[in-house]
Amino acid sequence: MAVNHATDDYVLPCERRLDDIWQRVGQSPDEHEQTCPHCTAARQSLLVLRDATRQLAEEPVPQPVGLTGRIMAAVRADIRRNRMLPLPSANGPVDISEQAVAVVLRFAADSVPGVRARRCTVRATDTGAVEIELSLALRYGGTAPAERMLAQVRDRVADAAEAGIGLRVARCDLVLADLYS
Amino acid sequence: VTGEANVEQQGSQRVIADSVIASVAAHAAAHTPGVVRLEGGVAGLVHQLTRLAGRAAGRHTAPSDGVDVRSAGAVTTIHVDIVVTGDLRAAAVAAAVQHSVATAVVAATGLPRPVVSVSILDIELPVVRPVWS
Repeated sequence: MAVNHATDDYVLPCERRLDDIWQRVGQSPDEHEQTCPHCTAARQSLLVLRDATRQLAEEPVPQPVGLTGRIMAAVRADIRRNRMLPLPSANGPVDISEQAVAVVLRFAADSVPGVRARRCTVRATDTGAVEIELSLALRYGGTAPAERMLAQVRDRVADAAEAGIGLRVARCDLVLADLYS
Repeated sequence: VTGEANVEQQGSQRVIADSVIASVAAHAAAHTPGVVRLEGGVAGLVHQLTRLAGRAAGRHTAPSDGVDVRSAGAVTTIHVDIVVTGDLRAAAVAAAVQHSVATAVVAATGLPRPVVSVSILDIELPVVRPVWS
């Protein structure tokens, strides 16, 4: 399970990896990249950075350590900015990236033995609470009944969202998508 | 960061550039417990690299990436983009950032307490691999 460490793979909502787009940024966009809004946005950001870093590379300045990681983090942050969820707050508006929340919730679900989290989407409702949908794979022939494992997942996910982040959870739907052995 | 804030005081006027407010805010936000870093995105990174180049050429400017300041007269609104640690409640870290940024800006500039909005762009989890049973 990949957590969102700066150097880990980052998969766009269209399932393409950011690293692959970075690899291909010098070539002309393929059929998918021409139409996909996520790939287009990522390519544009990467192109801006490539030009900026090229310009800097020509100047006699030592290249900072871990530049590629920081470029990826910056591009990720710009993509994340598109989908934000409001967080309840007392002083001035606070919001949080949906993808950042999803990573934490998947991580919480993964902590239940015999459960692997798959996709997680979080939507804000009009009341300011959120609706979570999480798909999972369960271990086939696990020791605990599926019913009990799902209840445990729901508890941990809701706890991570409410106590760990500070969101209010309106509903938490679990989708049993797969079994593994 | 462009623009400036004005404060009228005993007939004289004080003008504080938005870039100054941004630097004060950035310093306060970055030193709030639970904040891993400010996240300026691509624009911030380009800025940061340019600043690095400037430093080699002998120019020193304070960092303010991830901070956006809008001021109109004495009313200042500040937006901060942050990455937080996973071990503290994200909403509490954001509230602490709002408080420390507002307090620092008031202390450093004498402006009325600004409105501070916060976006959490990422949560850094401890790199622990979950144990597949």
